[in-house]
This record gives sequence, structure tokens and C-alpha cells, in this order.
Amino acid sequence: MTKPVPHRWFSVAGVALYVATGQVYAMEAMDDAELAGVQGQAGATVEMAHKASMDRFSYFTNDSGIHLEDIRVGSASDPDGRARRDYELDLLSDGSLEIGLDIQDERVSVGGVSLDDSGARSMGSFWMDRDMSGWFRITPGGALSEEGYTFNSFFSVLDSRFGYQTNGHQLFLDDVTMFINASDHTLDVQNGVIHYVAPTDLYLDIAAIRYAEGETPVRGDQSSRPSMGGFEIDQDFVSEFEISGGGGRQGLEGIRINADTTLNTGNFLYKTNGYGVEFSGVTGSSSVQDLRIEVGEDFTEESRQGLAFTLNGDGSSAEGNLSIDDIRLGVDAGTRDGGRSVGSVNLSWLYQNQTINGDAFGNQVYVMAGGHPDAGDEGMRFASEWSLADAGLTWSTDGNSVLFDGIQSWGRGDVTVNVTGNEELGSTQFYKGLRVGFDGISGGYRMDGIRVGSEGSAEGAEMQAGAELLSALGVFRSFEFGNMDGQYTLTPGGPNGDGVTINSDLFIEDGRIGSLTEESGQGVWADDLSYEGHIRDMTLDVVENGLRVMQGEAWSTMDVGNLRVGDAEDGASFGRIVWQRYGQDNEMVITGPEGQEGLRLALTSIFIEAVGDKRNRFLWETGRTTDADGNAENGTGMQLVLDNIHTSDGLGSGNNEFGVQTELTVDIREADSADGLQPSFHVNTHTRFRELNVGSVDLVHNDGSGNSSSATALQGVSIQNMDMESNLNATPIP
Amino acid sequence: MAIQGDGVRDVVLAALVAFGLAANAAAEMESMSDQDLSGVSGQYGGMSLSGDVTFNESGGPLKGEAVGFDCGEGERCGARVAAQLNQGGGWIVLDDLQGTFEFMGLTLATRLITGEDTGFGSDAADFNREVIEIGLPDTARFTDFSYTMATSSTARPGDSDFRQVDRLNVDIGGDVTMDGNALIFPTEP
Repeated sequence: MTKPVPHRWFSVAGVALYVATGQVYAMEAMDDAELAGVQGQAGATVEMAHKASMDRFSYFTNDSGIHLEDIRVGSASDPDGRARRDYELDLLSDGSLEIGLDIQDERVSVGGVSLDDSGARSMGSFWMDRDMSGWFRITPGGALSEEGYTFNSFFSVLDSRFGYQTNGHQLFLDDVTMFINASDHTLDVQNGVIHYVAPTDLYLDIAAIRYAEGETPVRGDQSSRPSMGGFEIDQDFVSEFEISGGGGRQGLEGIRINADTTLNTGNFLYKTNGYGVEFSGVTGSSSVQDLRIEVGEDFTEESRQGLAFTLNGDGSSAEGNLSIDDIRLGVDAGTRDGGRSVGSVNLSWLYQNQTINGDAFGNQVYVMAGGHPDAGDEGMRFASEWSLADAGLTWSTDGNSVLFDGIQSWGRGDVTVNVTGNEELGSTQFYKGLRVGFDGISGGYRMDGIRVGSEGSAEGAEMQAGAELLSALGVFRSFEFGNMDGQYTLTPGGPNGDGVTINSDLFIEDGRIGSLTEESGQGVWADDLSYEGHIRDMTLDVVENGLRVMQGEAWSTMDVGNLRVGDAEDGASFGRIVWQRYGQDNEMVITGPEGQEGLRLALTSIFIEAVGDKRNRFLWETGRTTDADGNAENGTGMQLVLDNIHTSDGLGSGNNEFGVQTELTVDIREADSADGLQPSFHVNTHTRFRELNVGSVDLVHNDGSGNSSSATALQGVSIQNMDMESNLNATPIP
Repeated sequence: MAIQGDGVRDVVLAALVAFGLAANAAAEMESMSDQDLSGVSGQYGGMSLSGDVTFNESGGPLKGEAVGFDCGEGERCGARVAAQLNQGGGWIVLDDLQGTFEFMGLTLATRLITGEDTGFGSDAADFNREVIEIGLPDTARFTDFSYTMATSSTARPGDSDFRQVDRLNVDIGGDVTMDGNALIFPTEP
């Protein structure tokens, strides 16, 4: 197809697509008997067996284009075959046109997506297989005027497949079922603005997510391949769109969208092996103002071209709220019975421009061709900037609530997406599956604190600390970082069939974690922080009453250059702390407490004896010399080192399977405090281990010129038979 | 600090157990005036903690495995911490740690120490920075809290050639009323 007229909207171009593909089809006349049977005044049946292809379809704004290449329509099951489409057209007595539709065995594929400056790179290929039937009725007259239209339709999509392929590796949603009931959608055009209102019932069942090798999309039964599990979603929502041309952010051409959505009811289920995580009674609303879509240059110095979704104008915002009545872990995926309740959650958010530490952030994504450069030419890159100006998360258990209030988040950087295989390419080790990479991301989040109250009253309760009690779970009052690189690769297949296997590497530089933070900016800060963490063969699956995470092997180093009190930048320091971790077969089961609402985690941490550089080691360094800028230089001070910390099953058995077992229960409850009985954030911790050993406790002295001497203070420490339980209730300081 | 109740043997050790957090840093205590206390209110960084910590209420994971943690009459049932000072030497042991410590109203916050703070001589003005402030709980209660300080020939009671001499048995029970703060001062620039 030749270059279309610039600044035509997608929707218009999309209609043109089918006209332009030059389909091979057969038309058959209706006989009189059939015509008589047609309700209304007129009727026609069109039967098509079709196969079509198009070399290129392009969308341009301001002379920059995005190109869909090698578009094909044909049979899903037979590479040389044709798909079948039957249409029945009726003209009804009220002037409506009703189109009955039956599509069988159709595959629509896009061989690649690229931009003008992509060179050999492509976003990868996409395809959709479907059996689809239903009807579609167009009635004259819209919501705003007689010139508009009203649409009603019902479609069922059965046994469908949606796939994504890069560099010879593909991931696909398998055995997809979808029912869409659109009642009284209206379309009007007023003053050059398209108004589309879409009340919709949707049911979506993705039975499996699978992986395969090969450049040609899979055909036929693939059920023998491992699956990540499935999703089931049902929703009743109304979306209202205002769509206009009128320009993007970088020129006169582009699409502008305002969208409001009300979610009346919704339910969500993630399932593996017959058990599910269920979000039920989901309601909410969302409002997006001044989203613009165009092909343009990104916000970095390189001005890379991308399909831009920008929400960073003066009047741009996305705000909304979502309420989940009940989160249940480990329910029966069929009946949705059983499982344990974590409680209910209410989220509110406002995304809009904000300035953090003197730096202006907005919300924008530029979608580009090419993922990780070593993975091959095919992949996607999302140059992103986000700015969550204000958010709140309320979590309620058994009638009491905690509000994590005043949450802000910001950042920018690149996220890459590839489907990869188990191979080393260039200098990068890839793993089989969907790879999400982080490339030069900086950002952070912070929250004002928590408010605890009975349900509905948390908002008015006094602000306090307490999120600090969840530090062990990686929840902090604030966390920011100057640079983050790394990757998570998700592979279908868990320990018992369905599930997800995860391999990950994460590198964080110039980080800072805050706790006990005040409005004035003072607090306790883990500053000048760097982190390197690696996880191999971690699996995630849903089990009876819970969600289970098992790590094959994990090792990490967290280096806190300065643990400061007071100001984050220059508060006085307790010195440097380095915490090295090494574990195998660690396990975490997330569930709810029996007979009540709350969050319960059962953690087993196996501390492995040192193997080379992989070890459990704690280091505290003070008295460092400083460089010309006054920054402390690591490795120049006095160090206290607890080395080779490891667990054992005890009495020289050599076994190390018990580890440190911790059960952590978190809920919100009325508890005794210094101020009497009041709602509190409650954390119960029960830790048990048979034996925890410290290989040695050393004092290392560095003289500042690279020489160090070490003295062993303790030849070894052995802690045995520990069974410790604590209950902590956090309330405001009276 | 006022002590009430019976069975209180060793106040210093009790305080150390309760505030082990403070042991690694220079800690100093001072009484908060009412004015100080009213200044704390409204800070949103801090929190008040109430709760309890229990050690080995029903024995531990090695109970009944014939390795010296058998919970019988006169036998060890609690946790054991053994440290070896010299290579090939004996072990100093905190043994048979058991019992419950409850507390109400322990506060955790940061606080600015300036020249206006009394009780530090002229040091406060020189310091003029923030510290971590642990407000001692108004009330605390020990229930059947006990441990033994000992020296031992081996780390584990189940090791061959195990011999042990108990040096001090501590048994704490009853209520403790506390007043004041523990301040943890950072010492690096």
C-alpha cells in the first residue's frame, strides 16, 4: 500500500485496510425462500473464503511514520489455506442494519512494526488466530444528534490465540475465549470531535500462556507446552471517549483523547493447576485528560523516534480509583470457593506533571523498535517517563483500615521487551521466556506515612510511621535511585505444571531508602546505596490457600555507604553497612490467616555456607578517610565483619534444609497501646531456626594506604534452638 | 527508672535485653519534659509501638531430638547463643533463653538536638544534629523470663565431650515502670 494521506486517524485508516487488501472471496446469491425468511425488508448473505496480504501499512504524523509490515490474513490451521467468513446482512424495520458474522479458522498477522529511523530493527511480529461469531447492528441516531449512530453487538471469540515473536522466540496466549456484549454504543461527531460512548460487558478467559521456539507462529494443538497459568476476567463498564485531530505535542498532526471509564463491576482470577488468586467485587472509575498520540521524537538527548503517548501537557492528567472488595488467595479456580482472604483494597491515583528535587516529570511513553541490543533486531523499547503526583492505598481487614497516604512516584528511563531463548549473545546471558529489561532508569517513590482507623475512618486518623515494619518485605517509606539496570525473564512452567519461572538480575546505583521520615525532610536514611541482586530459577504458582514463590538460587549485595540520621544529604552517619546474601531453595508462601482477614507470609530462608564470593556476610565500617569532596572512601576505615553466616539443621548432620523459618502476619486491629485501646497496624513475627552460625567475627583495620590487617574477635558464634515470636502494634505517638 | 514486682534479679541485664538495639551505638538517656513531649505530637515520622516478644514458649525446633534441648525437669528448653573467643578454646554461652517481655508505648522517632537541649553540657550546641530517639515504654512486664550465662567446652550441648559450667542464672518476672528516652547518636560526619 502506498503512503496514505497524512494525519488520517487510525480508525479511518483501519476501515480502509480491509478494502485495500484485495481479498479473494466468493459471493453467492440468496434465493427467494431465503429472502422471504429474512426479517425486515431486505437481506443478503456473503460467504468468503479469503487469503490476503499487504506489504506495508503506514501511519504518519508530521511526516514521521510508523509502519506495519507484511500483514497477512489467511487460515490459522493451514499455512496455504484460506479463512472463512460468512456475513448475513439484514435491514430492519426501524432502519437499522444488522450484520451477522461468523469467522472460522482465521489468522491475522503483522510481520513487523518499525519507525522511519528503525533501520534493521523491528518491534517484532504479532498474530491473532480466531473463531468468532456474533452480530452487529447499526441504528441511525446517536446520543447527541440524529446524525450520529447507535451500535449494538454481541461477539463470541472461541479457541483463539494471540502471539508475539522476536528473534525466533514466541510467547502466546492460548485457548482464549471472549464474549463481548455492547449495548447502545453511540457515535457522534460534534465540532470536529468524535464522541463515542461504550457501555460494555466483557468476559475474557485466557486459558494458558505458552512459549515456543521458531520464527513461524505455531499452529495446531500446543497444550503439551508448559503454561504460565491463565487469567479470567469479567467486567461491566462504560467508557466515554472524545477523540479529535488537532495536533500532537510536536506538530499539527496527531490524535487527542479524553477518556472517562466507570467500572460498574469486575472480577479477576489468576489460576495455576486448579487454584486461583481472585479479586472480586472490583469497581472504580478513571479519567484521562489530554492524552496525545503521534509519531515523534522522545525526551532524551538522542531524540529517538517513537510512537508517542504523551500525557504531559499543562492540562494532562489521569486520575481514578479502584476498589477491590475481597482478595482471596488459593481459591478453587473452578468454583471460586475456599482460599484465604487478604482483605479489601482501595486505590486512588493522580498522574500529572510534578517537580521532584528540582526536576520536572510528566507522563509519556515512546514505543520504539528494537529491545535489548544483544537479543537481535526484533524487540520493543519503551522510553518512558512517569509522574504519579498523589496516590493512596487503603487496606482493610475485618473492619479496620490502614491508609498508605501521600504516595508519590517519579522516574524516567527505558524498558525493553523481548522474547528470548536460553543463550548467551554478545556479552549478555538470556533466558527462555518473556524478558523485561531495565536500561538506565532513575526514579523513586515516597509516602507521607500511614493512617490507621476503623473502616472508613482511616483518612481522618493521625499520620504515623509503621510502614517500616514491612522493610523485610521490601516496603519502605521512601526509595529513590539514580540508576537501575537489569532484567526479569518470565518462563512458562512452575514446579507442579502451570506456573512462572523467573530469572532476574538487578543493579541499582546511587540509591536511598528512608524511614521515620518527617515532613521537614529529616529521617533515618540508608544513603549512597548500591544493590546487586541475582535470582535463578525462581518459581511462582498458586497453591491451595496461597501463592507460592520458591527460589532456586539467589545472591545479592546491598552496600549502604552511609546510614544517616537527619537530613538525607548531609545528616550525620552511623557509617557504612554491607549486607551480602546467598541462599538456595528459599521459599515464600503468601496466604491469609486462617479464620480472619490479613496477610500471612511463611518464609523459609536457607543461608548457604560461602561458595567463592557468594556468601552471607555483614560488614559495618566506620572511621573512613574522606576524599577531596568530603565523601567517605569505602575500605579505608575500621570494619566489623560477621562472615560466613549460615544455617544448619544441627549436630553436624551436614543438612541445611530447615533454614530460618519465619511466619509473618500483618493486619489492622484494635490493640492496647499507651493511649488505651485503638486501631493499630499489627505485625506478628514468628521466627524459628535449628542452628544459625557465624563463621567468624573479624575486626579489619585499613590504614588508608591500601594496607589492612585483620583480627578475629570471635572464632565463631552458634545460635541454636531459636523460637521467637513478637507482636508489634504501631500507633501514633500520643 | 522504678522497679516493681517480684523476682527481679538484675536490672541492668533486663535493660540490655530490652534495648539491645541501642547497644551498638553511643546511647544516652534523658528525661523528656512535658514541653518536649508536646513537641513530639504531630510529627508524622514516628510511631508508638506496643506488643510483646516471646522466646521459646513451647520449646524450640530442636526440642525432643536428644541433642540437649528436651524441656524436661532441670533440662534446657530455651534458645542458646554460644561464642568462641579463641581458636580451639571454650565457648561463652547465653543459654536456655526463655520467656516473655511485654511493653506498652515504646516510641521510635528522630529528634533534633540543639543548644537549647539541656543535659548535654555544651556538647548539644556543638552537635546540633538529629539523633534516633527511642522513648522508653511507660510500662513493661517480664513473664517467666529467664536465661543462664555459662562457659562451655563445645558450641552445642549435643557435641561429644560437652561440659558446661553455669555462672549465672537470671529469672525475671513482674512489671517495670520506665521513664525517659534512649538517644542513639551517629558519630560519623
